[in-house]
Order: sequence, then C-alpha cells, then structure tokens
Amino acid sequence: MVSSPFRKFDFEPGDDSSGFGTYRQLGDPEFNPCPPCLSAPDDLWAIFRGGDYKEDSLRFHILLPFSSLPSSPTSPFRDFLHRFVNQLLNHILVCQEIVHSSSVCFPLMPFHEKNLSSMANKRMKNTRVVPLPLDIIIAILSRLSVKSLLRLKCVCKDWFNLISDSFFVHTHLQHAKANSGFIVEMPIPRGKFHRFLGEIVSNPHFVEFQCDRLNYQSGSINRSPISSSISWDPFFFDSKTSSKNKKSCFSGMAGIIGDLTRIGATCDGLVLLESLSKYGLFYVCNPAMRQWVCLGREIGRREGGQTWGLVFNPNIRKYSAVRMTSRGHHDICEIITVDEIFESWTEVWVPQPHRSRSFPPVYANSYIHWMIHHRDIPDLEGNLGFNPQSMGYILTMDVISESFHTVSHPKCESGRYTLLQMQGLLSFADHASHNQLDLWVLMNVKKPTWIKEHSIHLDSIGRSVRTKSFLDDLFPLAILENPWRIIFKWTKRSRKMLSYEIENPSFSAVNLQCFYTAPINNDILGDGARWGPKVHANSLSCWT
Amino acid sequence: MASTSNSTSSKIITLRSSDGEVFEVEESVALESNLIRRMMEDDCANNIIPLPNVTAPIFYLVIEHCKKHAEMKDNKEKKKELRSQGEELLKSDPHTYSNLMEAVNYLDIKSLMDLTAQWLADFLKGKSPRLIRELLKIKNDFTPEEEAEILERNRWAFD
Repeated sequence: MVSSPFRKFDFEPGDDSSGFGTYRQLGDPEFNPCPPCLSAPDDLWAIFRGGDYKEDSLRFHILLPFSSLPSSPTSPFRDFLHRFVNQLLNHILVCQEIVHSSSVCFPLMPFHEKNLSSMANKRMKNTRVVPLPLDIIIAILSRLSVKSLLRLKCVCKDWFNLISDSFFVHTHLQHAKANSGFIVEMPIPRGKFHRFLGEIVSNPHFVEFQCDRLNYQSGSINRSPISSSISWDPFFFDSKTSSKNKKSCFSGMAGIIGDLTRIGATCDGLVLLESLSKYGLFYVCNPAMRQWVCLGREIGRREGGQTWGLVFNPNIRKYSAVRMTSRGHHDICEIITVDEIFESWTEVWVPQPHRSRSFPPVYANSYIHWMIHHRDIPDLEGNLGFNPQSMGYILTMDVISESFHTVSHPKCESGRYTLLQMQGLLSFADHASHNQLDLWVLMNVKKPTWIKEHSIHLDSIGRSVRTKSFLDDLFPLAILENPWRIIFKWTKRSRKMLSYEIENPSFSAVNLQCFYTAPINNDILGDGARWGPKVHANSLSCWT
Repeated sequence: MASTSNSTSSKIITLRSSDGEVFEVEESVALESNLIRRMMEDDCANNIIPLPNVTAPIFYLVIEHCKKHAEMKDNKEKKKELRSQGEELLKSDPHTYSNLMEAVNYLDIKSLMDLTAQWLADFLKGKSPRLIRELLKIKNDFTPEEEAEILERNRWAFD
C-alpha cells in the first residue's frame, strides 16, 4: 500500500496520548515545510524546524525512514525518540520530559533560534561544501550591476575570468537590456558654459552624464506622474585608472573635457560621443565601467550633416563606428573598428541616388538601417525633385559584409514613418493617420518580411492625453522592454515624454528633470530628432 | 496507486527523488519543469519518473515554490511574501539554498531560476568580496599583489 520508504512525519502536539498526530503528505495544502535546519545522522533523515512557536515550545517536523516508523505507538519508539532527541540536541538543550509520545515539545528557553542555527552551522562546517555549478554562478552574477561585478572580480580567479569573459558579458547584457533607460545629454546653458569650462581646468577629468531610468505611472495622463530620475555617478575620465595608451591619448588632447561633445549613438552600453569643437574626433566610452577611448583624426573644418551609428560585428566580435556624411547631393558612408589604436576610416559604397535622412540610423541584429529621402534628388538641371526609386525603401547595410542594399518597407500612406528597434529586430512605425500608428517588425532582412505587430488608435485610448496626433506632436523615440512600452517625444511639451504600454494600452507621462533636445520646429520629423535621448543600459561591454 | 484522496480532476504524476521517496504531483505543477516536460514528451515517463539529482527535502522546497509562484502571478503581496521567505532561507541556511538552486537548475524551471538567482543576486549586492567568499565558501586564490592590482584598477567601484 505504501510504496515510499520515507514518510514525512509531523509531530502534532496532541493532548491525548493515543496517537502520533497526523501524517501529512505532500500535496496537502496545509503542509508547509520549513527548511531543514540540520541534517540528521544516517538513521534519521532530517529535522525540520516548525513554523510556529506554541506557547513556550518549538514545533518540529521530523522526517524519518519509514522502516523506523512503528505501526502503532509503542514504548520502543518513544525511547527511540528520546534517544534521538538527546543525541541530536543534548549539547544545546537539556531535553525535558516528553509529555506525549506524539508530541515533541522542547522548552523554548535555551533552545532559541540562534542555538539552532549555530548548530546547523557546526554541522555544515563538517560537510564538504560543493561549489555551485558554473551555470548557476552565471545566472546569479549576470543579474548584478556593473559596479558590483567590478568589485567581485577580486573574489577569486575563476570569477575574475568569468566576469571578463565575452560570453558572460553577453549574458549580462541581455539582463541589462531588460532594464534599459535613456542616456540624456545635460543641457549646458550658454551663460554657464564658460564657468563650466573654468571649473574644468582645475578638474580636467570630469564630464557629467545623466542617465534616467524611466519611471512612470500608468493610467490617465491627468494624474500627476511620478517623476523620479536616478542620476548616475558623475562620469570620470580618470587618467589614473586608464591604461597607458588612453593616458597619452588624454594628455595629447589637452583635456577632452574642455571639449563639448554630443551623443552620436549608443549600442550595448557603449556610447559614441562626437566632438563638437575638434572636428573629426569622436570618443567611444562605457560610462558604467568608466572606460573610454578617443578615436578619429582632427580636421580643420566642420563636416556637413552627419549621422552616427555604433554597431557590433559578430564575426570579428568587435564594435564599429559608422558615419554617414552628406556631401552635396550624395552620401558618404565610412566605417571603422573601435579599438585602442585608430587606423583610418574605410569608405563603403552607398548606392545612389538614395540619400539618407538626418535621422540617426537604427542598428538591429547586425544590420544598420537608414531612412531615406523621397525627394530632393536633383535632376539634370539641378532642380530638386521627386525620386520615385527611393519610394517605399530604406537603406540597409550588412555590418558583417559591409555592403549596402535597399529593403522595401510596408506601404506608408502618409509618407511619415520612424525606424525603431524592438527586441533586436527592426521596427517600422507608420504614422498612418492623425490618430493611428502602426508598428511593423522586419522578420527577414534578406527576403523582407514585415509583420504588423501592433496598432495604436488614439480614439480607443480616449482623449485624456491632450495630444493632437501622430502626425503633429507625437514622435516615437524608442521601444523599451519590461513591460513593453513605446516612448514618445511629446513635442508640445519640450521636457516631457509619453510612455505607451503595449499590453495594457494606455499613455502616461514621463518627466525628466534634464530632458534636453534641440528645439523642434514645426516639422516634427526634422533635425531635432537627431540628438534625442538614446536608449542605454549599463553593461560590461568593451572594445578590446 | 492510492490517489483517491485527491478530488481534483487533473492528472497526477509520480516522481521519485534520489533517496527513493515518491512524490505525487499535479501535472500542471510538474510541467513547470522543462526536464520533466521533455521526459514526458519523449514518452519515457510512463510510470515513475526518477530524479537522481534531487533529494526529497529539496524537492519539497521546489514544489512549494512552484505552487506559490503559480499563485503569485498578478498578486503583489504573494510575491513579496515569497520573496521574504526566500531571503530568510538564504540567510538562515545558505547550504539548502544552494541545493535548491541546483535542483531548480537541474529540473530546468525557468521561472524559479529567475527568482532564486535574483534573490541571491540582491543578497550579494553591496557585499564585500571577502564576505562573499565566506558566504559561498570560495577560496581566494589570488596572491596579495594580484588582488591589490585588481583592486587598484577598479578602486572607484569600492567607494
């Protein structure tokens, strides 16, 4: 009848001496096992600390081998219990008389939790502790912050190697991405700028970044939103902790901090900063690790409209910077591997007559995509006109082969769309009409397959949000995970963003204390978007 | 099988731990484990499913956590309760906790792996390397010079 050699035996303090209390089997909803606080000798199985204190006694659950369980309460069993209790606990408590064979009631007094755990510890010291398997260690460590991990590097050699390992860096990145925030540029008011520079001279290693993890409150926009921005550590370009190469790079630049930079692109926790005073220079840094490298060569003049991209080439396992410069009526695309040593830009042929727009390109799954103009391609007379060849396409570069091709995009009636990245895939936000935005996802770049993922209707959400339309004042900036939400720039309020939750369709406002972007003109798809906040996650990524 | 006491209609799956104890678990709970799911899909789980890497007391814990996790969905208070229980176990008995994690890892229960790893990660957060070595019984195999160098390189992280 009973196949199990073991049974959980629950000692219920009863007031009659007839029985043992009840067997409670697994699956009984009332059964609430507590962690075994010590393992018993071989003939006994384990002793569980009871969850509750009864008056002045502590209750135990004891697991006994089935063979040692008598079929009826007999005196040998009572003796056995006595022996067992004494054997196990005599050095921490004097076992008082057991009132009933069915209940083991220990006086609480010397037997409090501290004794119990110290006894458990004593036992544990004798047992050989098997180190946790590697995949569990990875599962734990990949959930820690970058700062904690840098500290944990000195726990032991295994951990040091693990935390530096590219596989671990990748695993950690996946967790970090689920908690992505934005990296936002700090506004430097013009009046203060000189003062700021002055301070910089005395402290030449200091650049401030602020990253805001979006906190928002779901529900109607009319409620006041929770505004909470977590400011990061000031970001130090510290020459002390930099390697030799970086140090020389630093001093050679006479303090990069006097340099005014703009965030050009972000990728996997790395940030590309374009120098605004020393034309041609740019920096790639990991703010979480406080590492940076200066790249590029200074040139005398400022180049025209540039867009930047930061991409990961999985073949060589390196990051590359991509720069698209518009010169006259055509574009020049250049690419360079991010490394300690700057070599030179490699030009990549861009198919003509397509021209990229001034929007930052979107990197997704080893392809980088640009929006292209539908018009303003000059004809033979030099007049700007409509270029039908660019209609319905986006410009795509394969990062591995460094080659361009065009990808047709879903039909877009209004002609207004935005490219975003969603779960590593390219997403196409079609500003279909004033009150509708459609979200498409590109499943296959080689054979373009678009799937309509979501559609937002302003009408169905209700007009609690005082926005006009997707064509006038709502501009999608990014799609964030956990929960899935689309962040919109709300152009009517320069310091506000809107968050739209996909699974629970509703808008809420996001207040950023230092949200700053270039002023936006009437054209919401204009130049202002180029320097918007960028999605960022703290990671261990590096370029070496 | 004398499972007549169970009045629910769901299927019962019988599992045997490494030390021979037999457990009867509802199918919905058992299928949380990808290992058991795979075994059932491969049809190699006709009678009793053996779990050679899991002992009975640890298996109790796993099942309890599974059940609570299922209840916990959309219930913030339950979530908090489960979390505080997990943390208490971690503090009072790290050895069992690591056994629990190993069992969860072996049984391949993703939801529980996420939970237990997150608790331990939160627990380790902000602890000094020395304390962590002690807690997880890790031997420091760096020479003092090596350790000082690593420390120096990331000094700001210790502030």
